[in-house]
Amino acid sequence: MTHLDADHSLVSPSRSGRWVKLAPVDDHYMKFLYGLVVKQPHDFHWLFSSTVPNWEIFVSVLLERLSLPFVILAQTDSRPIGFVSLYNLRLDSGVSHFGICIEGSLQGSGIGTEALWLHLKYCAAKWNIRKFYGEIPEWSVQNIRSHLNKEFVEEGRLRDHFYRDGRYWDCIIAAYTPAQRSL
Amino acid sequence: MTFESDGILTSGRRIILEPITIEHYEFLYDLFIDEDINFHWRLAGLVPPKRTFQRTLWDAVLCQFVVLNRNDMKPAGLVQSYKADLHLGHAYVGGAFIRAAQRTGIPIEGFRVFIDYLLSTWSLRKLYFEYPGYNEPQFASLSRLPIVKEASLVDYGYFNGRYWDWTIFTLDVKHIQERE
Repeated sequence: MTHLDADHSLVSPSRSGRWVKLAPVDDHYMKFLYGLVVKQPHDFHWLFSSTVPNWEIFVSVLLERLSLPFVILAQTDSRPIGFVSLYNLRLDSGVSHFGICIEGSLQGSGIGTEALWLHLKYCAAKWNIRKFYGEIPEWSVQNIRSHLNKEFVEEGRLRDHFYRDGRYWDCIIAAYTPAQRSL
Repeated sequence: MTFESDGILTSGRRIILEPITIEHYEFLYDLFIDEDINFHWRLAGLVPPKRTFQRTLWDAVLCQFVVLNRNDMKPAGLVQSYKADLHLGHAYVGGAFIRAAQRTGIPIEGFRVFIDYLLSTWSLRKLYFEYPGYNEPQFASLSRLPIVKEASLVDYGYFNGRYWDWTIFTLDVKHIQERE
């Protein structure tokens, strides 16, 4: 969280971790991000309902409908490897949804987890958000099962909400409350 | 103005679903911002200028109708479907009714006719209803429908000095279709 250092100046949370860093969405990342949507549309279910929008819609949604969006860069070579953002932000009640997508080859490596915690930590420090919600497809649960049991609380399960690979999958609505755990 | 072509009904014994026209804007604005009606969750507690309200009335909406009371042919409420995902076959359903229409059977018939319209018009597998805890009494009539609670987001919304849970129900579409 944001805190006062020894000389009482305000220290912002870092957007840089061991494996990744979060960079603002700049124009030169747009083609990478659009390519990610095209390659992994199901990982953008939270933004485009698992469809591939045309370029104009993609750009307008990315620039206008999201809160605190960031490109995830590899710490080693600053290569873009993913995307993370808030959506459905409601500052009136202090809640927000989050969405994240990591390149397929890096999923399950722990890199996405670090990016997500960096992002949530940053957002919780910037804005008064009490709870973060993720709408997690059943097929992704295996990757984050340990976190679901510890940091997240399952508050809902929409049965057969998603479709992929010839069958329907549940949508797990999981909540994370920063106050319950020191970020 | 009603339309009952191709066998799709938009009326019931006590109600008529009427497409929204500019003449309804005044009624709808009052309905949305009325603190007692509590439909303001669709506006996240905001009271927008009328012009902004009219411009955003169709944001994220699949379709919506004003519900007319057949007795006096006056508007009694609104039913709408929003956040629809026709690719995945689900949509949210919501509505609000003036105080005089509540507990008259008009809301439940309005929802029933509207749901029949939705299921006749689109290939929907699931219909979701969401509402904050402070709206629970208004949705009591929904308990007569075959609905299942699928989510209860704890302390999700804020109203009148406290946080309220946010509940999402699913309507069993198969049950409705088998009934017919």
